[in-house]
Amino acid sequence: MSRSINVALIGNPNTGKTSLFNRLTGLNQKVGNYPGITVEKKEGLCKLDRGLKAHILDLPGTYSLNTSSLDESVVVETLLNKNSKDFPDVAVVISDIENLKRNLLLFTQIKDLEIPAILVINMADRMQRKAITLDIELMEKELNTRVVLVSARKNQGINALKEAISQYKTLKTEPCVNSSVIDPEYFSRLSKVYPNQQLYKLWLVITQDVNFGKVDRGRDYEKLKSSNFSVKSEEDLKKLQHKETVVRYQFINGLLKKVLHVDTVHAKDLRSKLDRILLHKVWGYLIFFFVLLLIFQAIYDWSEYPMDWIDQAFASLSQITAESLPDGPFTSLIAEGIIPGLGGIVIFIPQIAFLFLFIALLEESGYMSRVVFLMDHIMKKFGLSGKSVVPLISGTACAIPAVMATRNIEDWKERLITILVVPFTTCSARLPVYLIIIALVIPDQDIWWFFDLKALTLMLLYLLGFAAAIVSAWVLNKILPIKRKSFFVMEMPAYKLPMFKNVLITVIEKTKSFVLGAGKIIMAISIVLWILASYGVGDKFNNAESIVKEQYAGQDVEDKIIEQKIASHKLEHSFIGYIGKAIEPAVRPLGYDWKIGIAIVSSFAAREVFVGTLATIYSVENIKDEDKMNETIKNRMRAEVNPILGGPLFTFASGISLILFYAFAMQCMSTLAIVKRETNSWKWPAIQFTAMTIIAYFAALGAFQILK
Amino acid sequence: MIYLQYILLAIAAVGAVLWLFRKSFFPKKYDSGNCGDGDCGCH
Repeated sequence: MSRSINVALIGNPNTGKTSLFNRLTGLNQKVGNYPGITVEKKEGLCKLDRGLKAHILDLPGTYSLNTSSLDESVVVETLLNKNSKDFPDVAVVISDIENLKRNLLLFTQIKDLEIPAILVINMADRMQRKAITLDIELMEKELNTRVVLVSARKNQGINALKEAISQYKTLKTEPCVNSSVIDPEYFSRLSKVYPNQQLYKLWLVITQDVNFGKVDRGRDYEKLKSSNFSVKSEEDLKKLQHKETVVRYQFINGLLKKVLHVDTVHAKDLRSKLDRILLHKVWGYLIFFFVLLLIFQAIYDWSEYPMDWIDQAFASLSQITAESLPDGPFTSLIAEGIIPGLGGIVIFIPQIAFLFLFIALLEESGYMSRVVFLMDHIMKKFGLSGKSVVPLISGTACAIPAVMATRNIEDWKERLITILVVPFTTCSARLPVYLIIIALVIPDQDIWWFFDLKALTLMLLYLLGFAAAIVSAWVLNKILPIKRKSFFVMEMPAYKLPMFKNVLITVIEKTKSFVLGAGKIIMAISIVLWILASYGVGDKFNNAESIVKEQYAGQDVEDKIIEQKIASHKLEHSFIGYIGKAIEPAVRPLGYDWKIGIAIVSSFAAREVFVGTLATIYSVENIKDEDKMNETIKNRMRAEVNPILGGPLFTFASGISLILFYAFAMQCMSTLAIVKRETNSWKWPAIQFTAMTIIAYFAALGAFQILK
Repeated sequence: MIYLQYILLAIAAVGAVLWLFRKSFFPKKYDSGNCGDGDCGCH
């Protein structure tokens, strides 16, 4: 009579789990190359030796037992509920030879549940090509279990696996990692309350609710929940989960150091060859530098025409609106306030879309992970964690997700330093400011016969952002010494051709979120600014026309110029004019006039408001002049005259000063709010805001005073 | 007609100020379960 045992096939996504399932059961299933193809539990029968049959469950792919989705929770449910008919007699954990480190995290968790577990290393046929050697005997000894090399694709090692499954009773169930080291005091109390329970199982039961709350885990779970054993907050449990991951990776690292050897010099495949060049300590950085240069060159060259069209279109729209709607203050608000303000941000869509296009291409191709790896070497020298690289690079899009991405840094001080320095990286909101100032003050000139000086300047500003972040981190590291380094684990994906659809979706989503996010705030600020710029109190505002006409009485001045002077006089004595004049003493040493002062103050809410503010202010000033009404923002800014020194307001000195101010200043209320939430205190955002504003002010002051 | 324009202007101004006030002092709460854009590497 044949006996049947339950075998659970478990593994990370993309390890070839479904292919192995097909080999073992002979069932015909669809096999894909993207995570999550196994979205439900699948089962099949496999004949083993001596009349033994295996009832094989193909469980959904998961990276660990700290699940966060319904698919993954099926795995935990199966492994925790001993009363379930599917509870496995043996767990077959599948890993991929190229990602052993990451795959072993799940294996150690399953082994610690004291379920007989076999480690299957799939894609073993690639070992020779990739110059990988593995000491299986030592690995079996260290993990206290059977390790089987297979190639599901080439049908190699399947019989050895079947044999190992049929001998499941000989498998040892001792845990790999002593789970009580996660929190000895807590685990000691847990073992006193539940002396007959497995500690790690209890721990998983307790922590599952932290990730995912609606899983039926049988009577043990219900008993534990009804016992009210809850002495840790959700946040503390999450921290302990992170600690568990670190402890496991420390164990895995130690193990792989002993058993795994990768001879990168003799590796023959394309990936290894590319990695040897792209991760080279000299060529790697040089190639990255040229990739950046090419990106910024392309951003400038390709965006020029669409930007000019958008600029012209908004100027025309403003004019058409003013001419076709009935005269009145609301029409003026739309034509002079809202449309120019929005135009000031929409104009940057082409450049922002190109930036995101290149970032998406780098990510999709697998090159971005190599960049993170390269940067990790620099980070460590400045006392930052390797994990800080991800927030710093994602900060080029927006500081908010970047600050939130610091959550996987276990060490509090490393995390805090990363949170504090992330806003230095050049986010997309700085891009409009940089682009308009560079266009005004950097000459059209080629470098090395090919690269545009403007593109080079933009690239240098991105590098300046990173430099400011890591130098600040170094300083903070000295002030707040880091005692413990967190562990950096990163998967190096294979190189692949980017999928057009993925790239397109990323570009559209990121650009849309930038324009909508900035667009709303710019519209609101444009309305407020326009009202403040169009209304005022006192004789100087109300009698502006008669005052100016009196000044120019008897002089041969064109009516158009008189009207321009009246508009300037009114603006200067409007509400915004008084506010600007009050700010002017503080910004004059930096080379700015009161209008730029107003733009800086309004952009403390969000940096991108700067261009919109200037567009609104200059629009109000020039609206009476029909010729100027149709002018583009750039031309209006170029025509501005320095009220003190005469000559153009936007010179090389004042432009560089302004760029440096925006490079260093903390002008984003949303980021401050996120920093407050992540640090649970107003102290850190206040320090961050003050320090960055002081650095920005003095950098801008120094630049203007030296260059003027 | 001009009164209507002033009314619309007042509505726009009050709306903008209230919206900015809310945005500045009561910012949107972000999903605490999310580790940020992309894979956080926790799991």
